[in-house]
Amino acid sequence: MGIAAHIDHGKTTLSDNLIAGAGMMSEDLAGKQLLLDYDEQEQARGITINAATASMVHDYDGDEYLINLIDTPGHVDFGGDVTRAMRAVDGCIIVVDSVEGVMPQTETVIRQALRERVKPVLFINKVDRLINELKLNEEEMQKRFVKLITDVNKLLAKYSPDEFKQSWQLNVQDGKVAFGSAYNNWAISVPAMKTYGVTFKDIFQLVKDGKQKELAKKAQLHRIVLNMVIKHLPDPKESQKYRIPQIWRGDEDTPIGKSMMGCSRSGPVTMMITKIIIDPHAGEIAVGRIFSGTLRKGSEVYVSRGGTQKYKVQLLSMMVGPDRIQVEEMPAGNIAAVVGIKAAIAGSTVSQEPEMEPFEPMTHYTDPVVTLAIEAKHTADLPKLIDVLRNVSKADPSIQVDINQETGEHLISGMGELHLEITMYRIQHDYKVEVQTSDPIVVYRETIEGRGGPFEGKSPNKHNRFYFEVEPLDETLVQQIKEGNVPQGSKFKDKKALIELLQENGLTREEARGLELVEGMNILTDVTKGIQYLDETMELLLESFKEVVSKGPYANERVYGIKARLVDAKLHEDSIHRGPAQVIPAGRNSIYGAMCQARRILMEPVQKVFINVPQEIMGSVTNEIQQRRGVVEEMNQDGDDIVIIARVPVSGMFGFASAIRSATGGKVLWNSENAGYQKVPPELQNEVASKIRERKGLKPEPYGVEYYATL
Amino acid sequence: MLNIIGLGLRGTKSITLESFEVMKSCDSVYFETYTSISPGSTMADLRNALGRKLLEAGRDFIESEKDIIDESRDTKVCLLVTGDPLSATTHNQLRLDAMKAGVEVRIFENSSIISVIPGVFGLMHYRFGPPVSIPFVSRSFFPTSVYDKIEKNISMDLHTLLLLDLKDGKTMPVQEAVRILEELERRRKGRILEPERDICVAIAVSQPGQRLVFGTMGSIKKSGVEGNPAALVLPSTLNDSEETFLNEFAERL
Repeated sequence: MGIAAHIDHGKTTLSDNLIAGAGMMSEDLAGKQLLLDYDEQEQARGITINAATASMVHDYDGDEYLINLIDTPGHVDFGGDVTRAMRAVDGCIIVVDSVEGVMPQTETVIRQALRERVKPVLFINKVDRLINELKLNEEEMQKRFVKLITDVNKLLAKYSPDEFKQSWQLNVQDGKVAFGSAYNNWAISVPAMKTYGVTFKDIFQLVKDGKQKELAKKAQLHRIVLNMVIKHLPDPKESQKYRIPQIWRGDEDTPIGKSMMGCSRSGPVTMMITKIIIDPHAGEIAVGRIFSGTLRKGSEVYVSRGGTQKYKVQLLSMMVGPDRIQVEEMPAGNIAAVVGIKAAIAGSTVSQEPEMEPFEPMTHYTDPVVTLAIEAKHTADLPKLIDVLRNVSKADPSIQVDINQETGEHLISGMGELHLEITMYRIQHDYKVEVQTSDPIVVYRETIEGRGGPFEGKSPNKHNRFYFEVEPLDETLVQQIKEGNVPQGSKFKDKKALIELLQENGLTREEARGLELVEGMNILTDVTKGIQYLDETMELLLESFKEVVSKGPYANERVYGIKARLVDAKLHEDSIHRGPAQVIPAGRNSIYGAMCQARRILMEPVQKVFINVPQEIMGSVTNEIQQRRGVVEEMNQDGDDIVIIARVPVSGMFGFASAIRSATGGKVLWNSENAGYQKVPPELQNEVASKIRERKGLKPEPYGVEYYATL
Repeated sequence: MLNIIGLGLRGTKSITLESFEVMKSCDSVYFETYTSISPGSTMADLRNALGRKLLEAGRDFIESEKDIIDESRDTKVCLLVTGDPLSATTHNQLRLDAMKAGVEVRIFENSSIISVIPGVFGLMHYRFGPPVSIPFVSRSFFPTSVYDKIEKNISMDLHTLLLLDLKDGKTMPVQEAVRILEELERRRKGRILEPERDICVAIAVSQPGQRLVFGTMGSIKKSGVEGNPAALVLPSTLNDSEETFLNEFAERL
């Protein structure tokens, strides 16, 4: 199971207490030591950065249960870790701070869980604060619980898979909800009240009287929460029946399919790697979920898309935070840490069969928004730095490393300023490479505002001509691509169903049938009919489109949300005159030219910022936001505080943390989430574009229609 | 004025006297190195013979033909092309664009691999279908229309001249071409390019070191025969004289 929540709602404190309760760490330290935040940076910053795993045993009704737990980060910069963790688990405890209620990140993690068909239960945390700080009475407290549960249920109704829309709703009576204080080590649920003879009144009174220690003896957190988990969250045998069809597109009637559907420990080994840990001693450790068979130390496995190369399982262990307990074998349903599978990255399928259909890729909700240019302080360290960057991106797939072809510098992109800051810290301290970095650079996107084309793109030899039209892609279709309902790439399994879905989302029948490629949030479709040799040329046009998407015509940033439609083509009869060197530039020029006609624009990433501030100094906060091109969207009263919700461009957020601290004397609480992209204001478009171009070593003025027409 | 001059297959030795005079009279002489290749020393030999500088014209130059057309408006320009100048679409395009720009164009034909190959093997011109090019292939470019064209020739019992793509001043290796033919057969399964099919290999035609061989695709593969420049012929049924000539003029492997 996973534990997921908005930042600071108390996931790690809860996880620690569960582990301690299971006898795997000192109870006194639990909740204070944050065993799972073992990373030096995590301890210094008081947040979870890595999804940490722990396996533990719990007694329930006289039986022993082995629970594999993953604690996930709550900060928005580390959302990719949550997505990956959800693949490994079957159930999830959603933790919500009773004071703050359902927050944006709560919604995100619920979506992430439900997408992977991970069943949720709810833990309402920090209940002592309702009583001692907000001074709520019993009735008010119950009302607050009801509202909170209703809020969560609404999200569950919205995002649950159809077959579970009813059965996964939370209900206090059957005990799918527990509440308590993870920090003070107690919890209670309605069924547990009956079992342990504790009433709501008792709890209220004990907390009010400062006797939470006593309460913690009567209503032990780990017992009550783990009982809830065992009663309501599915075991792997049960869950794999409905999860496998979702996360694996192979044939369920094959031996491997049957074994996974039944979570059989005697079938062929299949495992999905969800995380790579770089350990200073053991090297690369691949952590993942075994879906079938029994993995044994010393056995040999294949990595999907790795050909016939075999890897030997050198060490096999279960994990308890930073510690690993070595085992000889581990059966299906568990989370294992393996040393020896060198080719594995997060997302790899590991199997005993070289030809196994790999698991579905894990979809991430956000792309990197911030980039740093990085170079070694000492030139001699350059080879080492390249090596380290490779390792870093392997261990954290949310990190993207590119080389700027024009300037030769290394660019490292991440989910936010904090994410990159921590990555830099690791490069300098864990890998011991001294580096210099640029100021953070925002990752922009390019799109178009209108229609363009058909625009003639000629091959250098002039014997091949392509005519593309472009227009913005319908927002609903972008959403379908984001959700993974429209898969990436050019190989479509169930084309018939896909054509229907595309038509429901704004494509014409011809466009839907002609779909050739989904690249990022963009599509290429071929609506021509009967053009000779076009079929054997299409792969090259896909290359053209990929080039366009990775480097837009405005500022060479990634293109987002366009539909390119091939409406005509003229091809040379002799294949020697229409090879890659001719067709790729021709297709590219046609799409670029059409995009110029369709009015190119830049989009910038924005964040939603939530700020709690005492009323009297609210002015300094709104001031700070406006200076950063932010817009205040909502202001709500919360006790003596005002909660401000604002949208601020990421480019305006650099240095916000320290600025807001000094502007308010440290009297604010704030957090943020990435909130997609918005148009750069019209008056800034050209200025931003030429700045990006100059940084990339291009001439400041982008090429126009005339340029592409004369090529 | 733009003079497009064919050099033939024998380097400086196959240049006609007339074209040699034209070259001497031109203001600038471009030597094209993109659509076909001349024997290694041709450019240097010609430079010595003419006693003047030659300008190399690669792909970019030919494709951005505007410059050469502009230059031909007021001065006499010559563009030297190995083989016959009008066998490649590229040069006919240049001829057309120059004419449209009001430039006078003169063509000096010469022999090319297309005109020479049938004869050297003793095969008859009128028994050939359209020539087919074999391009370098990649994961994203594997034109199977090559197969369709060969199949069409075979179905009409016509021979097929296979022209090999160029890279770095050399034709595609013979063995690579054979592998592409095998892969085409594997994909299309028309049973026309099987190991038993005869294939002729011409290496360095009309040049010192000329070599003419033929055999089944299997034996050509096994022999590892290689050379540059190379061209291939897929013969269909041979008539009696072709049969006799081929066996006499070429070596069976």
